[in-house]
Amino acid sequence: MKKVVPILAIMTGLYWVIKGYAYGFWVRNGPGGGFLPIVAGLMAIVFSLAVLWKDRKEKTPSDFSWLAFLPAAALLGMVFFSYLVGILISMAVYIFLWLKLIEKRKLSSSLAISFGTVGVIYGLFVVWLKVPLPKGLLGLL
Amino acid sequence: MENLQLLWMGLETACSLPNLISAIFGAIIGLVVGAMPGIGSLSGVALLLPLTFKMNPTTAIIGLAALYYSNMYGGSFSAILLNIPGDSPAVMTALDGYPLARSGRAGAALSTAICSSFIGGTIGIIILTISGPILAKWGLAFGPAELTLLILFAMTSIGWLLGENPSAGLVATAIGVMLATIGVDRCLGQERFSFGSVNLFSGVSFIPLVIGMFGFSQVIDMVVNRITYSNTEIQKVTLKQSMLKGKELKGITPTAIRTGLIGTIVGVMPGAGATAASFISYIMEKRINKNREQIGKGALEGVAAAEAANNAAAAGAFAPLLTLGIPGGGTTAVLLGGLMMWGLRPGPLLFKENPDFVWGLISSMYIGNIICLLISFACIPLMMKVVKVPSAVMVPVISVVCVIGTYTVNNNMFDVYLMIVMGILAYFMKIAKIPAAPLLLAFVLTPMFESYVRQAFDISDGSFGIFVGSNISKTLLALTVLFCLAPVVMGFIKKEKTSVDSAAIEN
Repeated sequence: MKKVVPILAIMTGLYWVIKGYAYGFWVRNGPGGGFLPIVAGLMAIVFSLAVLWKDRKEKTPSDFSWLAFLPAAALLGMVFFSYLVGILISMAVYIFLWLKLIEKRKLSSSLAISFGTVGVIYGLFVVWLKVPLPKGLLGLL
Repeated sequence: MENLQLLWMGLETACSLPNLISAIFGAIIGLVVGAMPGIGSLSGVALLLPLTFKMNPTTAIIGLAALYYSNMYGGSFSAILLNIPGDSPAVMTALDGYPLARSGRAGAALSTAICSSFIGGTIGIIILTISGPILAKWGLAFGPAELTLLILFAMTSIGWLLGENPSAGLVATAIGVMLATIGVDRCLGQERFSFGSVNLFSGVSFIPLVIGMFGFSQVIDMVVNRITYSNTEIQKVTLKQSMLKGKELKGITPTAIRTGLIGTIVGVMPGAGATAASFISYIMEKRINKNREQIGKGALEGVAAAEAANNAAAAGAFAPLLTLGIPGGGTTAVLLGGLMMWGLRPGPLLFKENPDFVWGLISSMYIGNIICLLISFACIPLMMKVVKVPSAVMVPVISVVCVIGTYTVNNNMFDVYLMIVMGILAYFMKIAKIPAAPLLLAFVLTPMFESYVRQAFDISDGSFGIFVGSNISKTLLALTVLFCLAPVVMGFIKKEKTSVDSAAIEN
């Protein structure tokens, strides 16, 4: 998993160089739209290869854990749910479920933290900053 | 004298009620964020940035700046009480702070950290007040070619200074530049790498990138590396117990002044930042301090050295930011992004065109530093509880703050998805030991770099000679080459030394 970013950087760098060439490296006595993409792409390829070369004998296990995807998956679930019930309700549900199911906290403290956080967000963003937050399908009723 | 008059004028701006409230609010948040293990000033500033959009730029930056240097105060609390630095600049504080706390002197260690932070911060702000206008005047001599080279110097030096592996820093820089080239080219009007998505026409938004890489990535980190402090015993400290004796105060003052000066100089350098400042100052004090034998085992001087240096560096980092538009580190890069969003262009002309803003900010730093000092002492009992807030509670709370902070910038869910992707990217970068700060600096500096490099070639009719046309250009070019070659030469010397040593052992 240590190699994911260097390999991704090499692939992206290659794409940036090819597309950058199409944008034009040097146009009318000056850098064209592809100048920086080509330079950055080449940098990404060369230095990612250097990182991979340096780590080739590295035997220590990676610190990677699949748990890393849990917060992202939970947030995506919250965002999709917000299309239905609006962002504030989905946030309250998300905080409550996380604390209750994953952290195994008491019902009362889970409820208090969830409503407290959403209350502060409502006060700051809706009341003070007047940001129109998505209300989802529930808002159409 | 002129500086004093301008400072006085700035003081009037800083003392207006909204600015004072903003400074106090920023100081409190910074203290709390700094004390919570794992959340640094960068995440704090990134998460608070969306809240400041409706404020005027001066009030907003005063609050964010207060958060930044107050964070340095806060970082010492968890370092001393739990042996877990709240942020990387407090790593050196823990070396002496925790042994002091274990020997029943937590109060003295906390007071030393607070007083030294104040001394270091004050030195940094005084130097900023004096050097700011001088640097700005010097900066007026910078044309597009000099500015191109200055940005190039900043971008190459960050790669070397951050992390053990220079290549890793440069991979991050390259990724930052690539991300910055997404969207319509502002000079040529050419659409680049937007993949037909309307959301990417105007480029990758700054806020989702910052919040994802420095806010949401912290959440991922907390989930993966679950640390609980609830069972850790914390020595109870009262305000009375925290007061330093006259002899102790006399002992730490010269250390704080010395390291405050060093910290400011290091803070001004691009990429070095508060962590490097506290590290260098600590090492220096370990060699020259009268009490050097005790440093590392539980000496107040050790705490003073680390804390004075990191606060001085935080103040020093504002000098290149305000005068040349070059951020000294990750947090100042976020501040630069914020300044641009508020329509301000940091650089030599900022002192001339927006004196109210610049001097208001510098004056507010003096007031903010005093506020931090008072709040830190007053909040000692409260901070005992803050440092023990379990990450279990922080995870969902910070997550929703990341979502709402990202969404409110453009009222667009695409930004939220982008933020999540950036958080995952930051996590994988951490796994590969690729630092994220150079990516941020490159992302912020690339649009300026691209514009200056084109202006330079327009002026010179496509001649490269413009980049060696002045003494400033030549110096910057030489420094860039020096910084690029330094790690190669150092690596060679290290290799030679190792082979000589092993040969000596064999003989």
